[in-house]
This record gives sequence, C-alpha cells and structure tokens, in this order.
Amino acid sequence: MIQAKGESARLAQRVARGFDDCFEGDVSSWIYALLRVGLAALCLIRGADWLRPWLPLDHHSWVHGFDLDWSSQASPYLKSPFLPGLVLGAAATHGLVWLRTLLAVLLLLGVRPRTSALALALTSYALLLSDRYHYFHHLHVLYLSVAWLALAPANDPFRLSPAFAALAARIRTQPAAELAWHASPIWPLQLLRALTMSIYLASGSAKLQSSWWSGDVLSQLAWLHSVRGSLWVHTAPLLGVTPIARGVCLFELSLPFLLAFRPTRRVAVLAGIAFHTLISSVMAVSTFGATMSLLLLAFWPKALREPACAEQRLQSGA
Amino acid sequence: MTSLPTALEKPPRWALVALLAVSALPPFVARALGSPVGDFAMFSRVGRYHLELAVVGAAGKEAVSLKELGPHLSRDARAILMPAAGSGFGQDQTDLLQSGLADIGQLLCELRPNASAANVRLGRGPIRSRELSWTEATTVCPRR
Repeated sequence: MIQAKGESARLAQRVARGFDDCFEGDVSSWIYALLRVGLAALCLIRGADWLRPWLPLDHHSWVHGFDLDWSSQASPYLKSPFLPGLVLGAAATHGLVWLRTLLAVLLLLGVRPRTSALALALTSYALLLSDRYHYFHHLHVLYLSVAWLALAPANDPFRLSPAFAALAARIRTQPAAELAWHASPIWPLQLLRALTMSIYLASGSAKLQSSWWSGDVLSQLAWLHSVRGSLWVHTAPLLGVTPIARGVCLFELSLPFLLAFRPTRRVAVLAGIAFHTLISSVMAVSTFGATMSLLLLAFWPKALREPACAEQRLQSGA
Repeated sequence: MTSLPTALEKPPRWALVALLAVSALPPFVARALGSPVGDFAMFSRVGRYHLELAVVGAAGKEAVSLKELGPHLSRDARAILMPAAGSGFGQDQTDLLQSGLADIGQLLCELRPNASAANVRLGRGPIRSRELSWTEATTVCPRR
C-alpha cells in the first residue's frame, strides 16, 4: 500500500517534470517576429479588399471595402449577435473597423506589439461576435493567433522603435545598438504549437464518420462546386474520391504527432504547407491556408537551450 | 497608453496548464456543446436548408417572402439567409441559422407592426434527399 503510494507520487513527479520540460528553454526571436509580421499582414489583407487590383483573392468576391463593416441597407436591421447583448450599431461598427485596421498596422510595425495584438484580437472578436452570420473558421483561427501574440516576446529588432533608434544613432554618428536576434523564451511558442495541433486533431476527428470516410461528403462538395479546379478534375478520377477523403482525414490526424516529435518535425511542416497549398488550389478557403502555414512555421526553429532537467540527466549519465 | 512589458516571465505550472487547456481544448468543448463556432470541423459535414417565414395578423397566418428581409440584413446574413428561400447548402450555416431563429422572428415583428406573432421554420436535411426535419420558432410580437 505504502509502496504503491510512493510509486504514484514518483509518477506524478515525473509527469510534472516532463510538463515543465516542455516549456523550458529558449528560441531565436526571429520566429516571433515572423509570426507577428505575418499575422498582422494577414489581418490587413483579409480585413479589406485593398489587393484587388493586383492580387485577386477569394474574399474579394464578397468583401467590398472593409470586411465586417456595417452593411445593412435599411432600418430596422436584424440584431442577431452571437454573444448575447453585443449589438453594435452602424457608428460603433464603423469605428471598430477603423480601429482594427490601425491596430493591425501598429502590430505590423511592431509598435507596442503585445498591447496592439491584445487590442486587435479584442476588436476583431467584438466585430465577429456582434453578428452570428459573420463567423468563419479561418477568421477565428486568425484572431486566436493574434490573441496569442499578446503572450509572445517582443524583443526582435524587426520593430519600428529599435530601427528608429539605430537610424537616429547613425545620423548622430554615434555607435548604434546592434540590431540582433535575441534568445526568447520558448513557452509562448509551445502554446501556439498546442493550438495548431488541436486544430488538426479537431478537423481530422470530425471526419471520422461514415459520410466522410465513404467519400460522400467530398462528392457532394464537388457536386456543389465547393471543390473544383483543374487539379481536382484531373486528380479525382485518377485517385478516386474515397481514397482522397480518407487520405485527408488520416493526414490531419497524423500531422500533430509528426509535428510533436523532433525527427519528423520539419518534414511535417513542409508536408503541412504543401497540404494547404493543395487545398487552396481546389477550394475557396480564403486566407486559411496562409494562416495555417504561418502557424506550421512555429514548429521550424530548434530550441537554443535544452531543458535544464535534460542537461542534468546528461551530466549524471542517466 | 500603458503597454505590456516586452516579454512575460514564465508563468507558474498551474497557469501554464490553464493556458494549455485554453489553447488546445476549445474545439473539442465546442463540438461537445454542439456549437459550430470554434469546432474546426472544416467541411466534414454538408447539408441543405430551407427557411419559411410567416406572420400572424388579424386576417390569419400570412407567408412572408425572404426577399423582404434582404435590405435589413448584414452582407454575411444575406449570404446565408437569401439562398434559404430555395435551398441553401452548408451544415455550419444551418447551425448558425438555427441558433438565431428567434432574432429573425423579432425582425419580422418590427417589419409588420400589426402582426401578433411571427413564425420562422427551418428545414434541414441531406443534400440529395427531399426529406427535411423542421425546427420552428414562434415570437410573440409586442403590442404597439
């Protein structure tokens, strides 16, 4: 009895130490800079149709001007907030849309990035939840990722303030502080990785049902022209709809595990990006592929400092 | 404007466990609660939906065309509601619609001030089937 208690205490201790290990260590700050700039740029690109003249994107077919801006034409208007009580009028919606855009620019430039990210996420969610019909999975993923940036370190040199300081020092012919990539704690990145893995697991597990597994859902999506394009037209008859449907499900379920283990991690990142490129070429998924590819890149960097417990184990020869 | 510090200290274990749960569990919680929002099911289900509107007035029950609602809807609401006059497609869209039937009834009451009640019926079913299962919401209109 006492022995069993001792064993379970030791097991609990090992689990706790393993958990701590996952969040120990450092990583180069370039990954945080990349995610900040990338996610802010995606917010700006997805939030309006500015790129229409140069780069036609899926959302340009329904977004004219700013996305989620006031668009009811006559009073009385339908008040159907997803969050009860969050009813925004025309003026508040318009103001929030402009605020969202300003905050995305500030985040892109790295001006008080953590505060900008938090405010941008809150503003974006207020707009999303004020009307239940505004909801899209890809917007939710984007806003969740932006919210995560509020936890991410903001010490990269690719921000406006250090760049200005370096420029000002150079003008005054003073030695400028070196713009360098610092070591940043890895724990915020681990949380983003967990979020990314959960999205794949959720998507894959939702497909574990007979209608998807038999290929019926994919056939119906093709019948509705939701899946289309020359790649689909040429590939579907060759491979068969059912094997493609099963392959997608298995890929989504296995990707989190391939990402979790160091030996397969980088191959999984590349495979994941290829997967999203293929999906984007046969379905109108807006910026979803770009957002997920960015999130996959969170798995690319290697830790600069190994977990303390691992070092101790190495030293003790364990 | 006070800003957050450039980097956070690593939180204690309990806070990390909470943050990890908040990062990874919401899709599964959403699915368990039957909410299409945040479950990331991603095209794993597809179906069709059809919407019927009516108001009850002095002359009895009167059907209302969905077109009449058009100018009073947001762009995204129009994209989901307008096809429902015939057949709209998409399971997430149907779930969103089903959770907001009472709000549509409220709008009908505002559009028809003399109505005593508004009735909204949503039919949903598989794409290649004629069978639909119906959900109905009746809103009692306030007396004016």
